[in-house]
Amino acid sequence: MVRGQRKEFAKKSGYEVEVVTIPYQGYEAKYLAAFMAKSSAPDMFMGMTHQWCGQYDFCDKMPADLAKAYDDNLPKYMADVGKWKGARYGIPIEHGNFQQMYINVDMFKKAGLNPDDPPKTFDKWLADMKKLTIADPKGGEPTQVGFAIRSKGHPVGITDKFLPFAHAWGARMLSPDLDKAAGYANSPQMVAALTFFGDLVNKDKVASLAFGNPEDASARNEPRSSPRVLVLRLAEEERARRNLQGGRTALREGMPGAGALFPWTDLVYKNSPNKQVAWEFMRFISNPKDDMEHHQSQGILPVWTANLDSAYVKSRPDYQSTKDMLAQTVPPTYFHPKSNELATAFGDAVVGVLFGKGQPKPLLDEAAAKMTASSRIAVRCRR
Amino acid sequence: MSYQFVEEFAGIKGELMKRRGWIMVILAAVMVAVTIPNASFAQQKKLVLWTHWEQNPDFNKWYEAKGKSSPRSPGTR
Repeated sequence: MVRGQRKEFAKKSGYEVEVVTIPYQGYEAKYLAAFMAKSSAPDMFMGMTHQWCGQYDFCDKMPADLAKAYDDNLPKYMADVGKWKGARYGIPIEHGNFQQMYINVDMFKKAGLNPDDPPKTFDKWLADMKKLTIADPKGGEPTQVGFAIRSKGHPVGITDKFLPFAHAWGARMLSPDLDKAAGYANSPQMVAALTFFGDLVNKDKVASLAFGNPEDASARNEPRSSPRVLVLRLAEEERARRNLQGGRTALREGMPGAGALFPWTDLVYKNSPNKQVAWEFMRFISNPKDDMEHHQSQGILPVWTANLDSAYVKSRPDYQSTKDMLAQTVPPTYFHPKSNELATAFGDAVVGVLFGKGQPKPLLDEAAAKMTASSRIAVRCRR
Repeated sequence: MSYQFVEEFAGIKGELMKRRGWIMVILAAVMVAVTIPNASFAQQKKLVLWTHWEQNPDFNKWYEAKGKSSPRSPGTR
C-alpha cells in the first residue's frame, strides 16, 4: 500500500480528474498529434508502454516508490507490462488480457459433450467442434458452427486471437530479442499452426466467416447464430450474461498461459505541467481496495495479486480457468516499439488464409519480409 | 407642490435608481452563474486523462469519481 492515500485527492491537491474518451478508431493519430503539439495533450493517458515510451518518448518515468509497489503486487506474467528497457512507466490496468476459450454449456450438452471435461488436445478439440457443427444439407453455410473465429476488424486483433494457436505449435511471431521476423513469423511451426487455423474455416468447416466475430455471434439472439461454442477473448461481461462457462482447454501439452499482445497501461505525459500531481493521483489509487473497486465497477478482473482470491473473483465463472492460466508458462510477448505495424503485417497473412486468398507459406513469407522492413525502420528510429 | 418636496422626491428616486442598478448587477451575476454550470468563482484545476476504452465506460468514470472531493470515512482502507 502506498503512503498518503488516505487523504482525499481533490481536497489535498486542488485538482479534479476529467476523463476524455477518444474513439478507438484513429486514436493513435489523435494521441500523436496532441503529444506533438504539447499544449492540447492530456496529463495522463491509456496506451501501450512500448509504443508511447519506446517508439516515441512521451512518457514520464514512474516514481520509484510507486514502481516498487507495482513490482511487488502484480501477477508474474504482468511483471514486464508497463516497462520499457527495464524501467517502469505504466500501470497495467487489465488482468484478463489473455486468451481463454469459453464454452456454451447448453450447446455442449446438446451435442452429447461434457462441458465439465473440456478437450485437452487440439485433435480432441477439433473432433468436438465437428460434433457441434450443423452443416447445411444444401452445401451452404453451416447453420451452427463449433468455433467462433475472429476474422474481421483490425489485423492486430486477428493476430492477437491467432497467437495462442501459434504458441501451441511452438511457433513465435518474432525472435526472443524481438529483432528478427524472418525464420520465426514464417517458420515451419507457424505454417503448420496457420494451416490448422485456416482449415477450421476452409476444410473442416467448424468455423464460418459468415457469422461475424465471436462477440457478434454471441450477441445475436436468433437460434441460427446462437453463441458459438468456443469463443476466444469474449468480453467478460458478455460471458457473464450469456452463461458461457470459463473452461479454458489445455489443448496441447506445454501450451503457454497468460500473455498479451497489446497490454494496456496508464501513463503520465512527460511534458505535462501537472505531471507531479498526475503521479500523486496514480499513487492515490494504487492500492488493493481501489484496484478491486475500479475493476469490479466494470465487471472485469482486478490486477493486484492480493485480489485474485477475493470473494468477487472467486464468484466468477472463470475463476478456476484463470488460475490455471496463471500457473502455466508465460508465453512469448512482443513488446516491440512497432508492435502494431508488425502485428498488422502478420495479421494480413492470417486474414488472407481465412478468406482463401492464398496458402499459409507464401503469405507468411510475405508477412515476414514486411515485418523485417518495419523492424529495421524501428531500429533506425531508436538510434 | 413646494420646492422642498420636489427635492426630497428626487432624492428618494435617485436612491431607488442606485439600488435598482445594484440589483440588476447582482441578478446578472446570478444568471451567469446559473447558465454556466461549470463556471465557479474559484476555478477547480483539472488533470485530464485520455482513454480509448470505449467499451468500458464505468471503468473510465471511476477515475473521475475518485478524483473528486468526496468524504471518506476513516478506516475504510
